Amino acid sequence: MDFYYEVGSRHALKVLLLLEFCPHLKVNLKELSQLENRESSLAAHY
Amino acid sequence: MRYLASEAKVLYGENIEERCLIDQWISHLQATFLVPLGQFYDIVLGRKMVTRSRYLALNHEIKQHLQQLDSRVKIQSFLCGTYMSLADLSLACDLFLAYRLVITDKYKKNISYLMKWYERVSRKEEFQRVFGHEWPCKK
Repeated sequence: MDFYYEVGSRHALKVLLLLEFCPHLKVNLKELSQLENRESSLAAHY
Repeated sequence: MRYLASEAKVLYGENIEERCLIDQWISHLQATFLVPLGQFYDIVLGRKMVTRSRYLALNHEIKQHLQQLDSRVKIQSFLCGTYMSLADLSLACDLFLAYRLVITDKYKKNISYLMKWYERVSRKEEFQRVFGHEWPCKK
């Protein structure tokens, strides 16, 4: 759940739930979290 | 989320038409329903203060959206047809707080098809691993 608090949005829960449905997918949550944060910053900026 | 689903080839349709429909639903919900719902959660969770009239207006707007969604799942098992998709997963995630905190037993009767749909999605083992077992709003 660290990922949820880092990103701090319902969107993160959706990603976690999606990952439950596809356990074969290898995802680095920390990298994904950083990517999400970058996207949020960009979205807020523009 | 869409990227991950397309990479995993899970919950994102089997052909381009299904994907378009799923995308359309996700975008539609983000642009319409999720805006007042997010504001409503902020109020219910004490993050934001609003006037009573604003609260009632938001409540009314959300109920209208819920009615529309109820009509949708009345004719089909899931948002995009007979298969569960990313759009259902996304909406269920947005509704889980409402199910626990806002949608009372009395109001559930007005959106019975949507509640059946929600139970279909939330009963999935994967859903329960993230959200735990469902407990409905008591009051």
